Formats: sequence, structure tokens, C-alpha cells
Amino acid sequence: MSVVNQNTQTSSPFELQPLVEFTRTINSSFDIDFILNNVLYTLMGKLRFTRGLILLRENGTTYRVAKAKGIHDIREQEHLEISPEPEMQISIHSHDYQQFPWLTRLQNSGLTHILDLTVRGKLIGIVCLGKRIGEQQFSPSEEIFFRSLVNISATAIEKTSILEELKEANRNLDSRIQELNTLFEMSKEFGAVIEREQLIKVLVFSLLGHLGTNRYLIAVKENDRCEVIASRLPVKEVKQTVLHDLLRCIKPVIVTDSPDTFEPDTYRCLDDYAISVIVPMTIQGVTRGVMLLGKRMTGAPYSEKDLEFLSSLGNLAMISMENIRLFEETLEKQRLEEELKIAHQIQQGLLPKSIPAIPRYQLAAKTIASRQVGGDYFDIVQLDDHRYLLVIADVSGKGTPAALLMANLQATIRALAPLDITIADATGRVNDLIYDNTSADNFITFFWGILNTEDNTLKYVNAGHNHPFYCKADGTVRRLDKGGMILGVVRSMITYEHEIIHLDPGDTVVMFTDGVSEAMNAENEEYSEERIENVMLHNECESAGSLLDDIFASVQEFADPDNQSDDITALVLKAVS
Amino acid sequence: MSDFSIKVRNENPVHVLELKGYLDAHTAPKLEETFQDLINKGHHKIVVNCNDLSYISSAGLGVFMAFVEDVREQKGDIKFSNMSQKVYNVFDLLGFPLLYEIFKQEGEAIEKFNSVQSE
Repeated sequence: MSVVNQNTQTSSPFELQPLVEFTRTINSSFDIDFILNNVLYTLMGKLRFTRGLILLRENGTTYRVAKAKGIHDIREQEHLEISPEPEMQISIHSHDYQQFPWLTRLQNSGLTHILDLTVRGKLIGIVCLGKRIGEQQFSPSEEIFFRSLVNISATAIEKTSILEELKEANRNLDSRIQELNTLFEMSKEFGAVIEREQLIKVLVFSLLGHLGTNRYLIAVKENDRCEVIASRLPVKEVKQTVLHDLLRCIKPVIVTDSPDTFEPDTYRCLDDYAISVIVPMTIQGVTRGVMLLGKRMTGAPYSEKDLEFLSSLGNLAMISMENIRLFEETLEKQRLEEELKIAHQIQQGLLPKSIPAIPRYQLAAKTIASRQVGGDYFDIVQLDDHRYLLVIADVSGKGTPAALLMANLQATIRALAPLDITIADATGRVNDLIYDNTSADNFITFFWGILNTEDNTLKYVNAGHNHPFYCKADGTVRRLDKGGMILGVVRSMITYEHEIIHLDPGDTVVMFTDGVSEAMNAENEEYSEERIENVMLHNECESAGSLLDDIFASVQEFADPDNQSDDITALVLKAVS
Repeated sequence: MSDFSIKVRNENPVHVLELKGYLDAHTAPKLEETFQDLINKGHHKIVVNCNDLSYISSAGLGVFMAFVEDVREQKGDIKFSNMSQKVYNVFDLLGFPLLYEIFKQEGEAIEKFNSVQSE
């Protein structure tokens, strides 16, 4: 402003009027284009120039041609290197061209007058004019006008560039906010969804919307395989080797910037699919999945900021998917536990509540259910005043299916027991019923016998069950192995065999399931039938109960309780005098 | 939460989607369904009227990205109209004005489809 004041003292007021008007006009606008146009047109009109140029400093010594009028060999937006910078003389001819080679270019374009745009001692640009009509030399008042106008312009230009910077900063801030909004929305949404499909869908939409692309592939590690969980690519399937290679990536990669991160074959594929970025999805620094994105539809490159955003989104999604997996696992476990509880209840309900007292005989039975609930079953049914039916069986499978088959077996036994048929025929019928009512992979090892307390006999059939021990009072041992096929595998073709044994006082029959003989110790050795026999022979006891207790004590001493995978069941019958 | 609804109006040969409420990750699948339905029926000229759209998130914009190629391959397009400043700002931040035509009024968008068709 001080320049303007001096001006009023030395020149006519008609030159002050346009300056005031100019100041008002350019200060009323933030539009850089409008301001630059006004500067050049006012200077060219007032000072009779036919060419005008404004250079604005971009950074360092690089200047951009912001406005060019009447000049054909320097284009707007072109960049010029201005170095070194001179103390500006208005006449371009006053400068030493040797010292300032860049001036030649301006002079060649017919520019003859230059002046610096300076704000607070900082050079922000250069105004150049040329091809003056008439008198080439400025009069003193013209020179003051030129200097004043350029001075005022510099402030106005600086003002708009600050505004532009502010706008730019605001826009950057807005995009950060948009990123945070997206991340926030995703974490909220991921937290609420419990289905993986839904989560993947939401993730894909956010990726596409936020980055403006529509080519993508998301793959996650499932054990040893890489599973593609979402994709839109011009190919049907991506090779496992390529996916594995991509999953080695530990931080986001812009494909063209990192030619050595992956195998050549991987690069060929990425090129074919037009993939631009690879973003690993990690949990605690371990890559568990990977997102591939194609180029953006706007053509804009992926920035460092975009990669950061993608990383956060990818990790968030991966953690959420992991949570869903763990949640489903827990649900499944709970469901299994619940099912086992039911199976256990069914099994317990099927076992006899009490063991009937049999004159001149001792009978003891015990079962220990495994955690998974196996299919051991035993039963004692009094048929009449001197006949008792003893049953021991092992149903295939575990849990509820085994318990249901066991219930089926019990119903069949109880229905057949009162009928007047031989135990061999009854076995055939049980087999056929089980065969008809179950699938082929269900079967039952089964031993049953009728104890007759009048003639002291046991008439039995063994359908594929572990051979019970028959131990005479004198210590001789044999096995009860007469019978036939296990139940439920094939229809009965031939009658089951049976055998009748005599029980004298002191004779013992020990029935057991494979849970006893195959009980495992920590070294994965089986308890074995020999050990049962040893306990039996060395038992000094008088009662069936104490022998049963000895067998169970011996098994429990041998076996590793953490290793019990099957039910353990045994029945001891002893004839006493 | 899911305060979002879509009304589809037939302005033969253009279909207008009137979006209302909040279009975000939660409601995006609803829009996806509508688009899928239109495309399945062979409708590829779509104007999205945003007059009553109060909010749009990146996930909402993602739905348009997912379908734009399909409709353009069928010589159709997705055009937008009646956008509030707030909604436009999100479009602008993510560079969408470069990818889609946005009109002040629905009529102009429909007109654009019709004029291109008659050429």
C-alpha cells in the first residue's frame, strides 16, 4: 500500500482509479483463474502489451505456467526450471543471459518485461509481458503502476493458494474421516454378524465402494489349502501354488512396485487378472488370508494411505472370521456335550436298576461309561421261578446313535424273552430285527444265556462277543464261544449254535466287554484277556462281588484314566453251595 | 437400525430406484438384492434417485461398483439424481463423480438414457 501512496503524490489520479478497482475486483474472488486473467488483462490493456505470462512456483526451482496469453510456444501447465533466481530488473535485457539461461526461453517467446511476485520476501511467481505497442520504455508512472499492480496481485494469489491448501487439507481430513467411518462401521457390523457369508459380503462391498474397483479375490488358509472365499476375476480358478505364494506376503504390496516379492508364475497370473495390490490379512502378525484388488476405475493409483486402510480392514475381517469360527466350534462342542448327556441318560435308563437275588448263585455286574458314551449293555431278566436270562452286549458306535440301538436291542430281548422258543432261534430273530432296523455299519456283539437253577445249567449263545471265561472250581478254564455271527450284519442264514454248561458250586462265569480287555495304559498297551484270567485265577475270594471288584481295581490300576475311550462292563456269575 | 427402503418405479425403458434412509453395510445386501433382481429381469438402465437418502457409506457405494460393469456391458448404466450435499460429499471423496453421471433432477437422468437410445 505504501507504493500506492507514493504514487498519488507523483502521478495523475486517473492511474489510481484503475488500481483501486483492480484491488477490489481481485480481492473479491478466490478463483485463481479469474485473478490471473484479471492481472494479465489489466496489465496488457493498461500498458499496451500483446503477450503475457504468469509463472507460479510449484516447489523449489520448478515453476508452472499458470497463465499464458498471446504466446504459442509456451503452454499453460508446462513446467519451467528457474535457476538461479535473479534480482528482478523490469527489462529482460538488463539481465545477463549467460548467468540466467532460462531467460532465453522467455525472450525467444517475445517477452521483454518481467517482475517478481513476492509476498513477505518470498518469491511465489513471475509475471512476464512482451511485444509492447509503441514506446518500449516505461514512463516512471507506468513503472510504478506495473510494480503496484504486481504487488497487489502477489497477495491475492498467495491468498488463493493458501485457500487451496486449506481445501486440500480439508479434503484429506474428510477422506481420513471416511476411512475411519468405514472401519468403524465394519467393526460394528462384523461384531453383529455371526455368519461368515454375510461378513464376506459386507467386506467386499466396503472394499469396492471405498476404493472404486470391481476386480477382487479374497482367499484364506484352511489347514493346508487356500480357499477362495470371494472373487470377481476373469478366470474361473486360481492355482493353489499361486495362492500359497501370495499368502507368504506379510505386508501390503503394490504389484508393479515390487517385482521380486513373488514367483514369476505368480506375477504372470497377477498380470493376467489385472491385479494392482495384494493385502495380507493377519492375526497377531501371522498371515491367514489375502485380498487382491484390481486397478481403480478412476485410474488413480493406490496410495500409502489406501494400503494402510486396506490392511486395517483386512485384519479386522480376518479376526472377525476367526471369532465366528471359534464361536461355531464352541456351539458344536456344546451341542455334542448336550447330545452325550442325553445318550448317557438313555444308557443309564436301560441298565437294570437292581440285580435280582438268585438262590444258590451270586451275580455281580458293573459298568463304567466312557466320556463319549459307548454302547455297552447288560441285562438280567427273570423268566420264571427258576430261570434267569443274562445278557451282555456291545453296540457299535458311540453317543446317541449307540444308545438308540441299545434301546432297540433291549426292547427286542424283552419282547422275545417270554416266548416259548429256544435261545438259538431267539438269537436269529434278534439278529434279523436288528439287521432290518439299522444301517449296515451298525452291529452288536452279543452274548446271552439262560441260567436254570433247577438243573444248574447255563444254556448260552455267543453272537460274536468276547468269549466269557468259564472257570471250574478246580481252576480249569475254558471259553464260552459257541454261537455265530455278530448281530445286525447279515440276515440269519443258519441257526445259531448253542451250548449248555453245568455249574457246580465254586464254578464261575466271567462275562466282559472289549472295554475291559482293551483298556489302555499311558503306553498304549492293552489290558488284555490274560490279565482278566490272572485276576480270576488268583482271586482267593468267596464271592462274585469281590471278584468283580478285583477285576475293576486291576483294570483301573493298569489303565490311564485319560485314555478311556470305551465303556467298561463286566458280569460275574458264581455258583455257591 | 435397518432404516432403509427401496421403491422401484418403471419409467420404461428406465427403472428408477428411490432410496430412502441409511444405506450402509447393514442395509447394502437389500440394495444388492434389488439390483440382482432388475438385472435378472433384463433391466439395465437404472436411475438411482437419492432424494430421500440420508446417509451412504463405502459399503453402500460398493453395491453400485459390483453391478456397474454388468449393466454397462449390456449397454445400460447406473445414473444418479437428486443427491443431497452430504451424500454427494461421500461420492466426491471416493472419486465417484468420475465414474458415474450425476444429475440434479431425475428427469434429466431419464432424458439422458432416452436421448442416447434414440441416436
